[in-house]
Amino acid sequence: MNRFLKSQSYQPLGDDAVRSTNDDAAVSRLSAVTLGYMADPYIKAFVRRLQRRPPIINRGTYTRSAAIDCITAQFLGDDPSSKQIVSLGAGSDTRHFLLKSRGAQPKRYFEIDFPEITSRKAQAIKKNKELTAMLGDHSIAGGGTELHAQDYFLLAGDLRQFDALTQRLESLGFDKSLPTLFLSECVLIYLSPPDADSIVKQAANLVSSGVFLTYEQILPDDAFGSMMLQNLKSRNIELPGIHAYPTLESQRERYLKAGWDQAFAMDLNEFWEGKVEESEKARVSKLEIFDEVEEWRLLSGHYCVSWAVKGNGLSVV
Amino acid sequence: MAAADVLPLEVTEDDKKKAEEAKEAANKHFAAKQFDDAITKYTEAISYNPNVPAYYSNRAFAYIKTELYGAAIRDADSAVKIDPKFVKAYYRKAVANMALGRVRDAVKDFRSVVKVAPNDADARSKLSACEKELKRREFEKAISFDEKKKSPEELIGDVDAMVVEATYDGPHLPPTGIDLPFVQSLLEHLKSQKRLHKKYVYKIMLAVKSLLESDPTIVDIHIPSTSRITVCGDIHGQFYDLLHVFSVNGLPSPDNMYLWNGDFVDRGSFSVECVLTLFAFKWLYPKAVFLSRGNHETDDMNRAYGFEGECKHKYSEGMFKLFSEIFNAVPLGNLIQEKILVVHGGLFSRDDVTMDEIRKIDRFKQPGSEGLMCELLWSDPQPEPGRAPSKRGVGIQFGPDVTENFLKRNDLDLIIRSHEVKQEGYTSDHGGKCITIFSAPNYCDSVGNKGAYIHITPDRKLKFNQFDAVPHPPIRAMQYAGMLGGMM
Repeated sequence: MNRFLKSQSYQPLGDDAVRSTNDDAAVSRLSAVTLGYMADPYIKAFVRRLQRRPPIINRGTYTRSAAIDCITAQFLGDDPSSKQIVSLGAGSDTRHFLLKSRGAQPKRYFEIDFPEITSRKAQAIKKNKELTAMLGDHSIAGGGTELHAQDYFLLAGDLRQFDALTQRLESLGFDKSLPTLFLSECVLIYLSPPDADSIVKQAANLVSSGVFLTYEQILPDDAFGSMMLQNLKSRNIELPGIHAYPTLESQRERYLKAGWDQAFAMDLNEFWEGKVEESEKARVSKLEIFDEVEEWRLLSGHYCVSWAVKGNGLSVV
Repeated sequence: MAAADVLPLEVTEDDKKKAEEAKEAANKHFAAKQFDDAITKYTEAISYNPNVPAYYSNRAFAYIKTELYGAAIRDADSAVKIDPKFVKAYYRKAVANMALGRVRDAVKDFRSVVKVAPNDADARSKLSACEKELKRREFEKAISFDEKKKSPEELIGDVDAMVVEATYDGPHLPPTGIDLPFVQSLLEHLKSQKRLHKKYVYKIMLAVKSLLESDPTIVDIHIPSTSRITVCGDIHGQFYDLLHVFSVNGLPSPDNMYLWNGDFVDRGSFSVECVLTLFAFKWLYPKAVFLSRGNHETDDMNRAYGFEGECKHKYSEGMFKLFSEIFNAVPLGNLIQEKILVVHGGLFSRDDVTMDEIRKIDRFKQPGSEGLMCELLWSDPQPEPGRAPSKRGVGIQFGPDVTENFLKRNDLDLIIRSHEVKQEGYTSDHGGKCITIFSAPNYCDSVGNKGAYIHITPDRKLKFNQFDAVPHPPIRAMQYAGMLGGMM
């Protein structure tokens, strides 16, 4: 039963609804950054207006970011210049710029998203002196929907046509022999399971070694999970992938059956409890009043990172 | 007593060797994240050779990893006493101080690092971050001090002089005082999302303030033979679920007593309606309606979790300040039939607490971050015996043995508490001696839980009743907290 009586405001539908989740995530990121959870001087270039999220969401954004950063850092290791990252549905992600500011960027960083999103991102980058300077030599392509630099490529495309995308990657210098990280940060779950599976499989076939890293929701069937889905539904957001891979176990399975060698999964509650250093947890806990421990356990338990390895892509977290 | 308090001992070469061996073993434990073992081994190293600052500094690091920040600071101090240029020790101290929220001390420590190691860029950046944080906190303290100058009554003005406009279409408080028809009209009016005129809100608030101020810190409740009492847990601003409870369980009356065990406000966005309803019934039937203070009947929580924002939005900041004063007057607990203690959080970090001591607590203030009052509002039961620091960072976790001892010492049968959301609306723990009751179903529109309440009859028998959430107008939880939902 829908908790809310009919609301009158416009809600986007279909692909527009999926695209709106990028704005949501970017606002959440800026909220957490502004409050001191993590450092990211670049995200404000992509967010129109600073809005403060509740403490539980800020902690969730922090933990999500830490988990993905952790696995990405392990992948890049001491020698990032011999590696590649392909970020699927990258949205307003600032990871390339953050890595480059530390001199830790991979040889090539590809971002793929809908043209509506990439054209806004390209504009925002061009408007920002610091980001433009970091790009180095670059050109605008695709009628303003793409940016091509030496080590960074912002590409417009539809992930549902992934083989066309892989051809574009190769035409832009993607090197199949280099270890590659494929990143799906709350992306695959918006696709139909066959489309998502196809991407995971094609990624495995494309490279000789690498990692596929996914962040998304799990556990749709318990009380909290079904409430979560209902609330998303009232915003016209569906998660077609959640019933296909609803558990940590099935998340691991999805990679193994697609040709990846090893697979791992961890929910964010486990990451927060077990992988975040005690002093860091103490620091983060003091940033805001936080009286929602049980709710945090529930919420973070319904998000996971899952990752697969092929060849000598990664040492285990 | 730090080793450096004693005159430097004669340390033989053999001692030095043994100390180094212990240190190596400790380092191995540390690398393997066996921090307690590392501490033991560093202690051994120190006992052989107490003159090596690195042993103290390393042990400080291990203490930090096990959150024993006080011990870490003592060790860091020992290290710099031996060698005032031992940079790592200042670092450890700074980290420990930051973890304890002692920003000013952390600034001092980072300054020391920068002094001794002026080329350390990381120290400089940590120092500047600390100094920024310190400035921010001092600014907040400065602006809040000014606001405390006026009393709530001064801020709201003369209630009797307030005029109710002719256009106001809500219920009017009879000049003789509150009556049942008024309260029934009030519920209908609030249900349609309309506001009670502030004049009447203040009248209700001032009447209840007076009642609560004359209540003791623990109220003794006696259930008349023809009555029963319904004990509810957290309701957290979920007004439409409160109305639902009234529809299935009856309105409060002298025969249908009610006790709300704290957390009336915050999270849910109809907190003003909830607390107004509870206060109206309290004024109407002061001997049949009882309240316990929850950790959300406090300024810090109301600021962060929406009640202050809701008050300001619907009425004024002055009204919030008056609520804050009234919350200070809400009793810390209730004792039913001399045997059943009902408090919001739980029990204590000390074994020998008596009811007498609890009754003597000065409750007319904010609970602070430690002490009996704080623990009453914040603690949680745990399955394991003994005690542990609370995951909430305030209060403690207490085991079945703690409950057993407290009940025995005070000749009680049972404690009923709230404070934690439960999937079924309630749990019975510690062999049935510690009950949790929670009355906010589908908490925050997201948990999907049931709510529950307890019927208690004069024979002290308990009966649990569950209920599901009902729809509410499209104003989501935390609407007035100055933050928008979003996803992580």
